[in-house]
Amino acid sequence: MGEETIIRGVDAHKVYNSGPVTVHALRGVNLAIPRGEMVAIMGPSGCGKTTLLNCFSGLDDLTSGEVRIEGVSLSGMNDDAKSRYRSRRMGFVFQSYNLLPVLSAAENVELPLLVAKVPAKEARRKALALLGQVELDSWAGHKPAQLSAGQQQRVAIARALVNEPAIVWADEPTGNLDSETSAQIMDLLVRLNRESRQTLVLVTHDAIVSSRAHRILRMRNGQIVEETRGG
Amino acid sequence: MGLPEDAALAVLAGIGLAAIVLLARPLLARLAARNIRRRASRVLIVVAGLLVGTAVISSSLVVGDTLRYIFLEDVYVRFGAVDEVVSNEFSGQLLSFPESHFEGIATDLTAAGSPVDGVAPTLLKVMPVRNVVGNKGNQQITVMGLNASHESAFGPLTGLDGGALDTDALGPTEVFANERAAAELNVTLGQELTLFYGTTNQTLVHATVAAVVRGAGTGSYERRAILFMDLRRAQAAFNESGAINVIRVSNVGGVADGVALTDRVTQDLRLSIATRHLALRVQDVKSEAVAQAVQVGRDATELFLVMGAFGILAGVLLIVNIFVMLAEERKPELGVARALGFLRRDLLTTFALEGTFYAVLAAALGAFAGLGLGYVMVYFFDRLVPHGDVPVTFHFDPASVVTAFVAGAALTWVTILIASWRVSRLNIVRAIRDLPQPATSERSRGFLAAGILVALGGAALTAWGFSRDTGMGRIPGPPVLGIGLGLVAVSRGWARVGLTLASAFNLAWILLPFGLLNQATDSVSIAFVMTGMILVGSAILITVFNVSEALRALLRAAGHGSGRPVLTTAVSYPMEKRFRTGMTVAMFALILFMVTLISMVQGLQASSIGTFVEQQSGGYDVIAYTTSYGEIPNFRTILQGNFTNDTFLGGWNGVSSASVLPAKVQAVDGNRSYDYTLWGVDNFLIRSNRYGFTSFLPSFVNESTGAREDLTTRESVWLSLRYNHTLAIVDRSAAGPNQFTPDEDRLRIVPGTRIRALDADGRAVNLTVVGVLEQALQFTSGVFVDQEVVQTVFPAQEQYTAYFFQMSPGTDIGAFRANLERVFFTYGLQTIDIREEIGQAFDASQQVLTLMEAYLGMGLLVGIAGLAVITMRAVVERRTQIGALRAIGFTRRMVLSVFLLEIALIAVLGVGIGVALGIVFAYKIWAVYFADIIRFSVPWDRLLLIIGLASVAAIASTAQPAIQASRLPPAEALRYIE
Ligand SMILES: Nc1ncnc2c1ncn2[C@@H]1O[C@H](COP(=O)(O)OP(=O)(O)OP(=O)(O)O)[C@@H](O)[C@H]1O
Ligand SMILES: [Mg+2]
Repeated sequence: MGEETIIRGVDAHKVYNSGPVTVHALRGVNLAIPRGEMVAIMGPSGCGKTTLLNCFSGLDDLTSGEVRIEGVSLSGMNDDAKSRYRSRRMGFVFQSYNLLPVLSAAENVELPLLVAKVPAKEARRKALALLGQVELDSWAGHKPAQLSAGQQQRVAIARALVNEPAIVWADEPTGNLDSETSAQIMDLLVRLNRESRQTLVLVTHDAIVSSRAHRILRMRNGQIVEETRGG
Repeated sequence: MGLPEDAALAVLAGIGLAAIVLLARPLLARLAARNIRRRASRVLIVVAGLLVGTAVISSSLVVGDTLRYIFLEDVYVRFGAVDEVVSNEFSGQLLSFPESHFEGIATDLTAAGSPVDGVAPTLLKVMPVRNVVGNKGNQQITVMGLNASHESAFGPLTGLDGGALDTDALGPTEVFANERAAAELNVTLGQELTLFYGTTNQTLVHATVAAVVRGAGTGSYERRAILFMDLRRAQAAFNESGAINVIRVSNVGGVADGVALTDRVTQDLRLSIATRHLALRVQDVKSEAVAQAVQVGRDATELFLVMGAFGILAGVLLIVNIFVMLAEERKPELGVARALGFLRRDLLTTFALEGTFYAVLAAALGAFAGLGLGYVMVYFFDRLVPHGDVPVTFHFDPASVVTAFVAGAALTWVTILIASWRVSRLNIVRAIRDLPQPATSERSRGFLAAGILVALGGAALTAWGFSRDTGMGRIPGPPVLGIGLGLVAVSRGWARVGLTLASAFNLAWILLPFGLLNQATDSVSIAFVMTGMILVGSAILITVFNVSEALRALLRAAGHGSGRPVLTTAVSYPMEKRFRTGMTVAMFALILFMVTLISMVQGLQASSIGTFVEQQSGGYDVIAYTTSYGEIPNFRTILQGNFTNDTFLGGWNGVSSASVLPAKVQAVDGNRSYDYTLWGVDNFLIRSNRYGFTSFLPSFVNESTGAREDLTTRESVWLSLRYNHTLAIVDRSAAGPNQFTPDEDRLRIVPGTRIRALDADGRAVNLTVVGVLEQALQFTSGVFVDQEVVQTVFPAQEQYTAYFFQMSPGTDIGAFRANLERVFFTYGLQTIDIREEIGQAFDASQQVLTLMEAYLGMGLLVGIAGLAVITMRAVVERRTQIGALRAIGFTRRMVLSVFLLEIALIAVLGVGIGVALGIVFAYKIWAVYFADIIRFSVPWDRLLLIIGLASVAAIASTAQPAIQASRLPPAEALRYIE
């Protein structure tokens, strides 16, 4: 592949040392993801998918090994630098949405822009535009508690994409959705990936979802055990 | 007291009930126990928050206990075995009577079988005494003539070596000196004393000190400095043969328990006096003093309770807050429990069980914490407040601690029960999904009914208040009516408008400058607490319903910068949780309101002290007076021989005098007379004083010309005394209630009132009041007339003299006083420095106010505990949200800022509301009651200090969980499932 590698992990290890038990959640993961690729990670519960996402996106630190994002080693960045990097270049979709319940849908979506110091008016305009793309224009003023699970997930996706990130990390973005909504969401992600060459790393249990990825990685016991080309 | 017993029963019943439930429903008990165990640190905060109310109650009681104890001990020192005193007292002077009266009364008591074990004749005189060798003197030495054969029941005088002493054993010119007299005269055994006795023609008595007696029992009678003589010898020395002026009576029983027989003995004494037609009066001195001591204790408790009431109230809010929060936190789990088939009753029980545990633990700790707080108060009271000879020792009645425990537990428990009941009424589905409970039509009907009921109640209160002329109805009536109407508006869906309008009306009702109180009959304490609650409650309602709108508008206007996302997030949380925010803001506001008020009082006092001193002194720096001698012969000649005229302002004209007569004064058409001092002022005083008037007559008739002259200036009113000897000026203490003399039974005089002044023998003079002074005077209170009036109507031996000095600037007043007292020592001349006296009183009262502020500052702990609980809760409840914020790109500092801003917002609102209300309310009080006496000012420096301290404390107490939250690694935060 002649394309530029945007995410590269080398011999990544993660050991959790909470309390009496030690969990070796990543056991030497090597991974390179070129810009614009859509990668699906699959595997049984507890195999280390979320851990991989967290460590590779800089939300968590590796125990050993290295991760480079756009050529820069995460371990060389301090917390503030990582935060700043996330606000400009990354977007996150969580399994449990994690919207701020006290903010309206539009306020939730525009928050990353405000963090990146985009002027308030422009931020609001972009936020509404993205809500439009996820077909929630008329729900902009609603608080998350007033939205259905699928609607909340779409707000979360809008929030992840609003700052036009280079990389989107999605942890089971369709886990709580019915197959129809799930297909809609995937359509959206695929389209954005294609149109703006965003790199998309998504964790899923759903074969229909993973079938739309360029590449499927299967994990077991903290290691990538199988790789399938798809698309 | 009835309350604690009822409350104790209630609390016992509650604990019993809890025990029964524990046994009958072990599953519920296990659930409750698990909830308690789940977060030990939380329990700590909950209990710490809950115990504050109890601590306030307990410390109030303990402070009262201590004061009562101190004053009781003082009473026992002052009176020893003496329970009653028989004398003929006139305006503070003891008139003599034949010793045969004593024998008659003693005989009657024996015949009546009265429970007394001692009756003793006494001749008690106060006079200047000088120690010749030691060259030290004191103008106020008491000389007591005792008859040793009647003294056994009062305990013997004891020497410093512990041996019993007897006045019978004294040689012809010997006396015993008690410890205090020995110290004040610097006298040792065998030294000779000169006693200056007499009001007109002085008799010199020489005496030698035979022994120093201990200051205990009779040796410390009324804590005086005493020389003891044999009664016969005293009678001879002071030209009072066959006469005494005090009969001391001791009831059967000890120093403390003899009081129980006072009623019986007093009755027997009165009967004896009446049947023998004696001009004597019985005073049950000890029981009166005991009652006073008890009252002082009770007043102190009430004062601390009233001030602490806002702390207690804040504590109640804290309890509600904590429990609603605990409930919120468990909402999903409660919902699941309901879905699994738990009855609402079971949930309530589980919650109440948990609450009972907290209530009992917190009340117990609070009662003891109050003990410590009380000790601290007493300690500072001892250090800061002058209290003369009375030693201050901490003392408490164990019953007080129990009372505080019971009251605190009851208070906590009831609050918890109500909170639990609310919590248990959850909708299952919404509880599981953690959604807010919706408004239903059932609920709006409830609001309507409640609104109408409350409004009716308010209307009734208002009507009652106005018809009965009482603030107890006028203060809360219209606000309750307003809130009722507001609730009706809520039921129609106009919550914001309705409650905002109602609250604004309430604020106006309380704060507009007209008086609602009936000063004669209303309890100021209750009115005050009520007023504070209405004010703070209304302000909170307005805030809660409007601040989010206001802030959002502000945000929209604010710039873009990196603060923007932080600000939006920080503001959104408290505004989403209105109830929680309102409660927390209220806690701060309640306490800051009270602290601000006190500091306003302090500031007003400080800013008006200058004017106050001027008005009190009438322009005089030093006042000198004799109490044991009439007019000092050749006073001015002696003065001129010893001082130079540049000592005084305006030379010798700066020295004035007044003939003083202790008199009874009554309104001519009234039949009650009161003790007042009649000041016959000389021409110098009339012309040099600077006392001003609140009111005076428009004109008077000049007696020498027969012409009516207008009175226009202060000076002309004073001069009118000179030209018309039927005129009098009174100070404000004779004109109804004021800052020194609350609404007691007193003369109520206005210009034009006709009064009569009488002496002990019925000599009288009728006077017309021409003016009322602007101040109630502390040192020269009374009725002022021309000097000639006093001198012609009343005999010289009844009079004393007061001298007034205006000093040249830069004079050493202390040295002048010392010289003056030395020169006129034999006349018993005493001096006061008015500025210094008032200054000391001022300092003491400022100190007490500071102490009060500090006490209330403890209440701030409630608010701070409240904030800490909220923050801890927020950190837990927002853990995954914090993770999301971090993922979006919030830095640690931004997350920390969100929390701190949020806390600051709540603290600023609470502090701001409290301080603002305190200032405005103080202004109202000033405008209604004190505008004519003092000037209004706001002590900004003090207030800023308070605001600063409160804010720093708020931030400091919450910083820890906030920092913890910001340090949370994002992955960790996101993963968290509660
Ligand atoms: N903070 C932590 N402390 C201790 N152990 C952890 C922590 N986070 C994850 N683990 C453990 O690491 C392993 C991998 O967890 P991870 O969350 O990555 O699994 P997953 O593949 O995402 O599973 P699922 O599909 O159920 O979400 C698990 O065994 C888990 O128990
Ligand atoms: Mg996972």
